[in-house]
Amino acid sequence: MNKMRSGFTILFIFSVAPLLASFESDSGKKEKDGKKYREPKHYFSNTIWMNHYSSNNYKISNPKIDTLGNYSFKQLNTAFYFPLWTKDVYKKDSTIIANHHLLLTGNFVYASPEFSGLKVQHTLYKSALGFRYIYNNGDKNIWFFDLGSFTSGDNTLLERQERRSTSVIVFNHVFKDWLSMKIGVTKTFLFGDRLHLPVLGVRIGRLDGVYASVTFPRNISLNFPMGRKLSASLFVKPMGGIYNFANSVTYTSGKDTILYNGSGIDSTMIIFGRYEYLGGMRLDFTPSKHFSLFVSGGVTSGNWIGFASYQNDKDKFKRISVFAGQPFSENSGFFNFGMTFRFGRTKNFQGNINMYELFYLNNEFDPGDNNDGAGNGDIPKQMKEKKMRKLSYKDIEDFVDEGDLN
Amino acid sequence: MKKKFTLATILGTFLVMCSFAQPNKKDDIDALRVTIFNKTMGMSTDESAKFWPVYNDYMQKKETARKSHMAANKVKYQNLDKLSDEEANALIKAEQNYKQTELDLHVDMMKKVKIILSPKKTALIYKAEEEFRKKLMELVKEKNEK
Repeated sequence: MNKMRSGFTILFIFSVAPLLASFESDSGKKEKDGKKYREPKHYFSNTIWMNHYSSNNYKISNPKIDTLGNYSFKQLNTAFYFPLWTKDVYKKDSTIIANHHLLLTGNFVYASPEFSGLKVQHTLYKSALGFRYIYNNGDKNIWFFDLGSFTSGDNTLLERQERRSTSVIVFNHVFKDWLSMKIGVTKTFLFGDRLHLPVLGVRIGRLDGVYASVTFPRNISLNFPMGRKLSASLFVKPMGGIYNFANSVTYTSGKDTILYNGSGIDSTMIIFGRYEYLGGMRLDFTPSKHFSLFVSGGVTSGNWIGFASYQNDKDKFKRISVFAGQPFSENSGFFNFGMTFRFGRTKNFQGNINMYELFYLNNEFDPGDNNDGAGNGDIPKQMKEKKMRKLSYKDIEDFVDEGDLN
Repeated sequence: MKKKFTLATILGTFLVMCSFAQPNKKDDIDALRVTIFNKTMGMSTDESAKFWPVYNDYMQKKETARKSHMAANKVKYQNLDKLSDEEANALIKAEQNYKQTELDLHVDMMKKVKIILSPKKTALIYKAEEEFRKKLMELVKEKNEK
């Protein structure tokens, strides 16, 4: 049943994406007499991406939950952002162009923590919706605000859901095209707990070339292009979150029981939190600005899972205390692959390093707080003259005059 | 049922991927322009950061003016020999207005660029534009020779 649901989600995305793409491209169709040509409104494309993640088995040893057996994790994340409003503001002598961007963001995650001791596995889901506002002052400063709200639930107990919010505020300054720094705060559940953390980051190297980036608490990466279409990155990043988990479980023996024996509150649902650190390599293939594909793999370490009751989560500003936590000391492998679709015409931002920085920031903080972004396929790579493919006259007719033909 | 569903999903995925993976030559051309302009005009990081938003804005407005003009007069251009005097006069006026708009946009862009760059570097725009067009023509010729 869950597989069918995932299948329908995939099919829905693949059906909606081309529909939206065709709708968008209508504005760029061949014009009829008297029909006004419409300028692209936004710098951001409508973007949808999805990726699948899986990791290996770990043995649970905490006596409170060791009856759950071995633990492994799989996740399918589908996320999007759509630009809603963009405004260019001409400052001073119109030599500085600032811009405001408002985006609608969201994601849907199917998470499958598989416990070998359970007969009926719990498929957890998380759906998030939010807004993102980005301000580029046109002169090296970028402000980034993200506010999201997510609902989590368990497919074995659909009637009980929980809503939570996440947020990010970041100020980013571009010192040079090869150096930028950021500072901010975030409310995140990335580490399986409610945390309010500072955001601190530095990037060294050009975004359209080789660059190293460190952003606490999101990632450390070294990125390098391998031609115009392929790029690679070596990275270390945390991944995790919290989910609703039905308290009632059925063991392989057929015995039905509850994980948390609470009183005084509705304990049909408990909290499942998890995090891990991924270290590995990611390869991005971007044949066009409308589509990119990635695979990544490596080692996952520092894995942790924990269960908490809502009894211990009354104060929405404090951390959640777990009644059963399980750190795993052993490392294992992980595999992650995904694809990104970008559709719609956008304003030209080639060579504009402030805009490159803006895209980079937007991709670094993914909707839904999963640390699972769309990748930087929307940042153009440097074009070497020799690498430019041959063109037909039709490709260049907008750029040359009759005089150039002689 | 399950087989058909899987097959439809795979086929749908493949078709969508193919349609989205078509390379866009305009983006490559825009990227080539950045490379040639940066090389020819020798701009510093700060100058480049300010120049490109202004130049892109100019290019966008120029494209909008051209496409709007073509959209508004496409049928007239296709039937030039069948136009009435009134229609011909309207087309001439539209063409002149369009050329004037192009010139105004260029003058406005150069005025802004002169604030960002020194006059000498600003004048190098003409060289950069020529180099860019020359390179495009070379790429067309190379394709035709093949």
